Amino acid sequence: MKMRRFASLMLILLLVLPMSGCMSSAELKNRTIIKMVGVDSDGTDFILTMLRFFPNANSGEKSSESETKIAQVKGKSISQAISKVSQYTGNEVFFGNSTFLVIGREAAEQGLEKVLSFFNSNHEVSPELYIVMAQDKAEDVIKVQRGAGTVPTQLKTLIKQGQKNGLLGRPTLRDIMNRLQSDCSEPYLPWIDIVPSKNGEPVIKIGGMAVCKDGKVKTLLSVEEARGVLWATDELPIAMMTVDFGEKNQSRASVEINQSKSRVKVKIENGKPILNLNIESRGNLKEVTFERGSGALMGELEEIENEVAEQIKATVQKTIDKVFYKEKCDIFRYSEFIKKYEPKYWKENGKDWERVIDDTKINIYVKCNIDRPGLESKHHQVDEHV
Amino acid sequence: MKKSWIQNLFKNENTSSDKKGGLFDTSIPQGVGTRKQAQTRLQKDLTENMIKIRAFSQNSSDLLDRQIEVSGVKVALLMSEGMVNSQIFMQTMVRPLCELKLENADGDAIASWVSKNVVLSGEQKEFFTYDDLFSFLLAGFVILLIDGVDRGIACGMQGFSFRSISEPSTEMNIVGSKEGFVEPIRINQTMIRRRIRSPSLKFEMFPIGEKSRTDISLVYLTDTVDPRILESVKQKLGSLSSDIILSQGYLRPYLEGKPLSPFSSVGTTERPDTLCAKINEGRIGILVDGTPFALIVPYLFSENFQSMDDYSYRPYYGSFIRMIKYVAFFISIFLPGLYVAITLFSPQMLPDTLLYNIAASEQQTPFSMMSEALIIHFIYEIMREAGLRLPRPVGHAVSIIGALVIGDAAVTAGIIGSSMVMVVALTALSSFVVPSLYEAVAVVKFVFIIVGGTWGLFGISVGFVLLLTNLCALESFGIPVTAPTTPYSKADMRDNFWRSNWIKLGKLRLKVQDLPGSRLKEEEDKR
Amino acid sequence: MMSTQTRIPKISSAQMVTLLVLARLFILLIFIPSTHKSVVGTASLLSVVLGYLLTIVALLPAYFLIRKNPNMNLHEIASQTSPTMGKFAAVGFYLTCMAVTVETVTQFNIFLTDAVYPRASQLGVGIIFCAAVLYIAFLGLEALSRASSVILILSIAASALIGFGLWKFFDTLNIISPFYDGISVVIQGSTMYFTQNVELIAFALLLSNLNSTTAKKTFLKYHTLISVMLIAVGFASIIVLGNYAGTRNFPIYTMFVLSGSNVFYRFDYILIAIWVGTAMMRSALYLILSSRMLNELTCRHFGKKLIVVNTIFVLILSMMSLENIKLFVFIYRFLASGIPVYFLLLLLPLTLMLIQWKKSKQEQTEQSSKGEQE
Repeated sequence: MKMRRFASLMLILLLVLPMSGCMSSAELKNRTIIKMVGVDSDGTDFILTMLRFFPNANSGEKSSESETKIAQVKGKSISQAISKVSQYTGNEVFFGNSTFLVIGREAAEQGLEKVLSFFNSNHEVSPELYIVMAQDKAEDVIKVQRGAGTVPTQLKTLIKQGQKNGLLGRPTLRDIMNRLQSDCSEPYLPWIDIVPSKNGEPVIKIGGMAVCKDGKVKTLLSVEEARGVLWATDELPIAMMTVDFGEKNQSRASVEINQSKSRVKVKIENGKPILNLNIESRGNLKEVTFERGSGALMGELEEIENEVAEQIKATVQKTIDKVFYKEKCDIFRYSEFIKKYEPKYWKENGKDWERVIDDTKINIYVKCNIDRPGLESKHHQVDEHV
Repeated sequence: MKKSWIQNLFKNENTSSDKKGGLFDTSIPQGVGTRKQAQTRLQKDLTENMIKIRAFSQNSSDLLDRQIEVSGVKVALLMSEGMVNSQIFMQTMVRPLCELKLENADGDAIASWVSKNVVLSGEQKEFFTYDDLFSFLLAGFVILLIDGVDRGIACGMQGFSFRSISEPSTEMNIVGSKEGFVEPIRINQTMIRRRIRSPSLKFEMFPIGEKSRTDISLVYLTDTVDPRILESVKQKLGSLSSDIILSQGYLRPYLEGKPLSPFSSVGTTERPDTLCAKINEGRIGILVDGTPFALIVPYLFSENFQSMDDYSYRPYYGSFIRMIKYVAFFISIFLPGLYVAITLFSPQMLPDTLLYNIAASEQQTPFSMMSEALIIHFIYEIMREAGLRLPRPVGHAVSIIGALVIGDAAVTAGIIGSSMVMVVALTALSSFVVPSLYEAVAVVKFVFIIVGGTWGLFGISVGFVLLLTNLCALESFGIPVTAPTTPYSKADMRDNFWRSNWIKLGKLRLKVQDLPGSRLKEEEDKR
Repeated sequence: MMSTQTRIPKISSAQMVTLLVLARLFILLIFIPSTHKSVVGTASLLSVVLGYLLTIVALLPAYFLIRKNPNMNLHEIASQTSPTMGKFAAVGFYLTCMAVTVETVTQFNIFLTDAVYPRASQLGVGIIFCAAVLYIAFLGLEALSRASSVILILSIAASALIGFGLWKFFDTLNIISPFYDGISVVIQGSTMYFTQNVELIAFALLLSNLNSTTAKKTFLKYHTLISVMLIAVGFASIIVLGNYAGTRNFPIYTMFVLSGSNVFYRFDYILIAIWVGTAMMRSALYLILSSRMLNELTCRHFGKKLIVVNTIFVLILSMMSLENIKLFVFIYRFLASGIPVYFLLLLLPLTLMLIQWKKSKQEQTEQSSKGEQE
């Protein structure tokens, strides 16, 4: 009885074996591994530029990453465009290990969701796919990447370091979809600029932040303005601030902010929401230069701190004015704050978000603390009479 | 010769005592050898006995017999050539017999003198049938047959040559005893007895196998073992239908638990100290004459990962080594299958650079990933088997060919990818960490390669769950093989995944039948 | 000799708890917001707490009944009290268990072919899954419970590891008051918690397999453990995913994907192993129970052959419900509406207690009339 049972089980499994075609497997040599994708739009169609991995025929061993080729296809939708790729590579396209998605300016202005819907529903794509916007056309960025030789490491390093250095936020697929899905919060993307370098070869550079409204890219912010956004949303890891202080502003100090926390408190006064944005930063003093000599006294530290706080406040205020009040883009997720802390107010007024923005008043309070004054101490007194 | 009434009583139909001697004597049963026919009683007449004995043994050339007269009575000494220690034989047997001077001696007098007045050897037994005679004779005893007496006396003075005690070939250890079992069962018994000097240690010996009459010995501690397990083992071994038992492997199927599983519920060991440790936990050891391996029942799965060395090291290192063994076991089963499954179905699981390297190395290979894995693992198994069976001088050639074949040449020729070589090497190394599971690992690994290649990670997960359930269903004499992991017993876990130090281990006595989930405990609770 | 023919498999209390917890975890992991009615957000957390208390209260009649008849499962009590009730109960249990098995197989199939292997054939996955579950059911309840403890421990370890990887994504902005949508939602959620708890039925049927008489403690352990786990996972999904959860069809899977990309590279496929294990254990459990019920109904003691019959039924029904989404929704609604739980865990014990009370009254009157005669 036991043997029969075992044998029948084996038979069943063996019969199923021919069904092996039912699972979607593909040999690695039959896959087109895409490293980076660029999406452009020419008004009606999508143009996809893909940087694909193409190992050399004679390398039986380790390959270098620079073996790549570019494929460019056009189609009414992204899926249609992708299906054309297999027409001339003969393989199926594989996005599982793609690191970057570059969206061209025109495509981004037409609406992010149109572009991202394909990548969001593709199960192979990692939600941590970085999304950046190109200043003009995505294919330029990708071509530069290829020409640079090491790809897309350069862009990856750029973005990662940019995140660390406080130039960018978290531009991943997940974050952007999160914001697109919420009621009123808007996503933002970093944008990439291509500048010619000294020897004439184009190099990519982080240009700043692109801000969306209703899912479409509306304005571009510079790097400094982008910082303001990050400060306000508590996503700034480090930042370098340079301030002038002292009598006649003759001294200059550089402070590296390495910790920054911002808190938002919502209150309703007279039926209007008031947001109190508290930013607390901590930093180290990097260098202090005077007209004559360097180093800082303890007493001057406070002055430096205040100057830094003023500068932070000014940056944040400027950014909020530009983005929140003028363009009415809520990339700071203040709508969600209001919804969380004042649900009753939100229920009544949430539908008319633009009016709420006008009603909202934002107070910014910044405090800065310098933890470490550095190794230098002031050794040359500034002569007050001079 | 007149028939005595005893002879009439035990008359065998085929024999007639009319004619004697000669090869074609019809009174001699031809083509005999079956034990049933040999179970006739001995005659009183020595000559008749000798004829019958020669007939039963087909006049085999290694049966030596010598007839002498002791105090006027004819006495025959029988022995098997090469099995008797001739020095002891001369000193303790021949001399006293030759020097014996009894008056008016007849067969019975000599027999009673031998039985009561002298000690010819440490082991002296009396027997009545030809069957027993041959059992003793072929076990190396010297047989003493006395004319006029219908019983024989067997004196043990074995002196056959055997392999000396050496390091066990399969269970190496660094810190610990280097003695391993040898072929003769009695020497193995001595080794065990020397290690456990308790009167509760009992050896129960009986022969099995119709033709081979191999001695097997059950070893256990009477105060620890569960009598129901003992009874069950005896019953199972008694129902053997094999003619010849040449190694412990012949006994295994009778002792295995159900259901059918790639994992074994009977353990083997080549070391006496391991066997003693296991017996102390209420298990039963089975020694088989002619094999240096002993069987241990019941056997738990976690014992595959325990070795004597663990207990000689400090607990933290012993636990670390044990962890490595578990990890190595999983690697050896799952790594090739996972590799195939991931590269075929979900390459997005790999980091970028690794994927590019693998893709580049696989670009040139003609086979699909799954076929490649199967081929290379099959070649590896062939190499391993060849290495085992080769005579030693040729061994070097195999290692060179192996390195060349599987290493550089295959990769450069573009037959397999270099990352596959890495996988094979790692799998092979891992499978050697737990040698007792090698059989299961070697076969199950192929199953997982096929499963992973056809159904991806889903298939491997299904396979894993099935394998796990199969292992959990396996029971060894009523005790679940996965105890004490599941069913869980906190106290017994102290030697499972890690090794607690000896003070803790020595406090509680683990008895196998008391493990949770064992049916023996259940039956006890019911009463 | 130890015979296995008529032996009732016995499992310990801890094994029972792990088996039921694992079965319940399946619902947790596979969650399709579009077809499944449920309460989302922080309201669900509060409703779990309320549901915990509600379940305990609702099970009181069953508790009293079981206390009177120790070591017997609900069906045995029913058939002992009255054979017709036994038959009805067997039919009810059989239908419920079969529905759960079909639902498990179908849901797992949908998950696998939607989220992980979009081009896999559903028939192929179904056949492989059912064949594997058939084998496990053949191996028996003890093997199943032992394996489920191992799988549960592995699942918890993997989930904890993944939980650590999620700390970067914690976003307290997503926690809004549970009463945002009103208190009725919370109450609705807590009743759903009770009615969707099919494992209670499995527990009622497995009572005869406990090797000790600690039914109450076992139940409380299971109940507490699963409620805590539900709260933990719900909390994590709210905090991490927030609105994103609504865009993806399998939010818990998405959470694992996220964490995976943080800790190890794409760790999320470990989840597939957990899912497969959970689904298989659950299906095997309910398959064994339904075969037992079918055995009782046919009164012929076919033994294990009925498992094969049931598996074939399950395979056919699940293939049909994959083709015809309405059938799937019907089965799901049947189970989620609570009809099985209300009938089998509330109505049945009450009826049985009523019958028993009537019987004891009858006996009393008989005895007293006998006493008068004498």
